[in-house]
Amino acid sequence: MTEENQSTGGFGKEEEEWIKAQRAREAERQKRKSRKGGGDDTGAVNINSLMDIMVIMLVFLLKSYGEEPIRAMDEDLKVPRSNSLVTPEDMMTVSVTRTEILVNDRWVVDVRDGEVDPSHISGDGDLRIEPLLDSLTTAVERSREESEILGEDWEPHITVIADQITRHRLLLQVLFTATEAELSDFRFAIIQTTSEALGGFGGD
Amino acid sequence: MARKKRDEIGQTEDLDLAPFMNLVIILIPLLLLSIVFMEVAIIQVQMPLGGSATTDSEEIDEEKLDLSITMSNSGFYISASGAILPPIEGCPTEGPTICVKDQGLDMETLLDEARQRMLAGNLEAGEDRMEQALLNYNFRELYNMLTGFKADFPDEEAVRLSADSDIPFALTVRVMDVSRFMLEEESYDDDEAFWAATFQTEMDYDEETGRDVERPVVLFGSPAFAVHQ
Repeated sequence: MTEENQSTGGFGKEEEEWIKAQRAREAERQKRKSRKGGGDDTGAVNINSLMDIMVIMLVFLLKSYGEEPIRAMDEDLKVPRSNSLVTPEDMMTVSVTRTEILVNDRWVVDVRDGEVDPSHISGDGDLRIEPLLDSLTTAVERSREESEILGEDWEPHITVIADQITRHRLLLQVLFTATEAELSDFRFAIIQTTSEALGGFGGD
Repeated sequence: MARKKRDEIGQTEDLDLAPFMNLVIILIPLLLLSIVFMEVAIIQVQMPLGGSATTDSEEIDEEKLDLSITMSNSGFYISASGAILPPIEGCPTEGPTICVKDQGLDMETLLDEARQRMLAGNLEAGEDRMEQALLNYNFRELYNMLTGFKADFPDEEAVRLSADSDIPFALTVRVMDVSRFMLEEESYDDDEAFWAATFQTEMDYDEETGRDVERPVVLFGSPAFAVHQ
């Protein structure tokens, strides 16, 4: 390689001749080597079919990656199992993980030991989570505008992706706050399973 | 320069796929890891605007069922037509309508341990404990009782759910699962038969396709949330 680079740098004729000769010799040596090895075909592994498989897999995986409307599993999130059969749709989400609350995958407030810090909570019966109300209101406004532009009726849907161990109290606070942001139709994300598995019989 | 170009053309080689292969090989495990091999579905729940958070100010109509299930660490308190039902046979008289199977099990500690383990990153151990706690609830008796109400109030589908503040979301979901559809039988004596039972179905006209489709028969399929204070 270095020889080639240098040749572009402007050598004398003699040196160029020498380089050419060197290359010819190298090519000769290569030829002899491959002849000794007994046929060219056996030298390299044919990866064409492997490539085909890889490309098909890649396309398939990318497709299924894009399709998933809800992320139900994460480091600190696993939604409960249920035998519900309703399929999810793409819509506004509020996630309640073990460590934080997110609206449309954006951080809103921290959760510590299953509770939101009392300084963020207000309202009758301590049910309103202030930062959550703010971000939900903003999200609702934006989604209203979107539906207006698209000429659709806005519906007060929200998907609640809550961890299985979420305290009932926290869940109620989230739901109550959402109703204050004019959202009343909740969809809880769950992982589908069979009734047998729920009852502890049979496999997962 | 001209000569160099000629040289390169002279060296006819295969397309160099190595960088592309590297990319593909890295992308595939990455995407495989991110895939959750689980079907995600949803449960639909309504909550009136402003929150049905505080108990109804409406007068309770005697004719209405007004069914509500309250989940606690010791079992389910069930109230219908404005009155909490007395404990069923085999449960302590001063307790929930349907008590847990093993009264000796300390549910509070168990759930607390489950939560601590999950927070510490040990999901499996946490789930084991949570599942143990959930299986201690007597869902079979709950179902048997709900079908009894359904026989008296065939048009009622609403059920109000409330719970103690530390009850995990998973239990709420399971109660909704049990109360959603009718199973083949109206009552079960055996846990295994109960969980293995399939939904009772009926033929229903589907407006979208304009054809009759088979649908599960709804038991109490419209859950709502309320606060237990």
